[in-house]
Amino acid sequence: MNTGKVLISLILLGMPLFILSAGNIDGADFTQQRESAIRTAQEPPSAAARLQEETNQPRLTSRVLKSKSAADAIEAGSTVEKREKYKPYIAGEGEKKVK
Amino acid sequence: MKPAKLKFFLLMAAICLGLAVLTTGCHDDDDDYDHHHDGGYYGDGAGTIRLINGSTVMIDFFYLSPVDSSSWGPNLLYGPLPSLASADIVDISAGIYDARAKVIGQYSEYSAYSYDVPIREYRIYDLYAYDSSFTGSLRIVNQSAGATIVAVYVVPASATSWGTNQLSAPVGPSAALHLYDMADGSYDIRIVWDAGPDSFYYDIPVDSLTLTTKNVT
Repeated sequence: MNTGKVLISLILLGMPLFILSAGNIDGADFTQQRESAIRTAQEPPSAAARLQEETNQPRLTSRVLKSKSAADAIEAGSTVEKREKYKPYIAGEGEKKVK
Repeated sequence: MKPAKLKFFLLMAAICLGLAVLTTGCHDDDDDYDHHHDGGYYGDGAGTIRLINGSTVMIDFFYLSPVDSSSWGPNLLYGPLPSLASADIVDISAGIYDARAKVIGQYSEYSAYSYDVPIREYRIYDLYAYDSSFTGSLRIVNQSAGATIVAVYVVPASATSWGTNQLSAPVGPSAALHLYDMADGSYDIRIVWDAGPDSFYYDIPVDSLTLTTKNVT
């Protein structure tokens, strides 16, 4: 009898938590498609290994620090897929995120 | 030593010392140059960038723009640059530039950036591009039965807020939003629907030269 009361109390106490967390939280189900390597026969494979090792050279990075216009922008896509350039995050901008 | 010879010796020593001081004091234009970034001399009077494609994909476009310019300007490659090949961009006026290499892939487009690149006369600046140099892309597919996405927020997982809406127009059922030019890393996604509660997805990876597809409902 006491156990039943405890269970009912736990359910009643837990309900507000479910109500507050409105929204769907999904797991990491996603797919990834990597661009296939397009190698040429201009240099032997050993050259590739050598280039990869020289990481102390000046190199390009994926960090987008400036927004500059480009004549070849391809923000178009089709009616089923809208292609847009990512708008980089600015610290503190927008609604506060609560995980 | 006779006094006359001693005087002559001291005079010559003073002249030599003075010349040595003057030579040391002269500013050698090359001394302040970071030789680590220096690919060598080039003989046409202007600076050169040598783009070295150390990635496994072909670089389709390369742009070079003065740091204070608001546009990237024209493509500077004569043709696509194959993997493990290099291209010299010559006759560049001395100055500070931003550089961008771009790949048009099978699934998306990707860019790699370098900022504040110093170009000096008679010098070659070696600039390397590797696979990890490039951005990634994210495709968000509306897999709901009949709901429309009205706003999409995509921010780095470490961000404390949701940033700006990435969507310029609603995305209906079965349609998709394809975001490109994203730095590699983990991202959190918030989907705002025309009806019903928001959807949240955390720690979605975006990798270089990769299109990540996330179905949302």
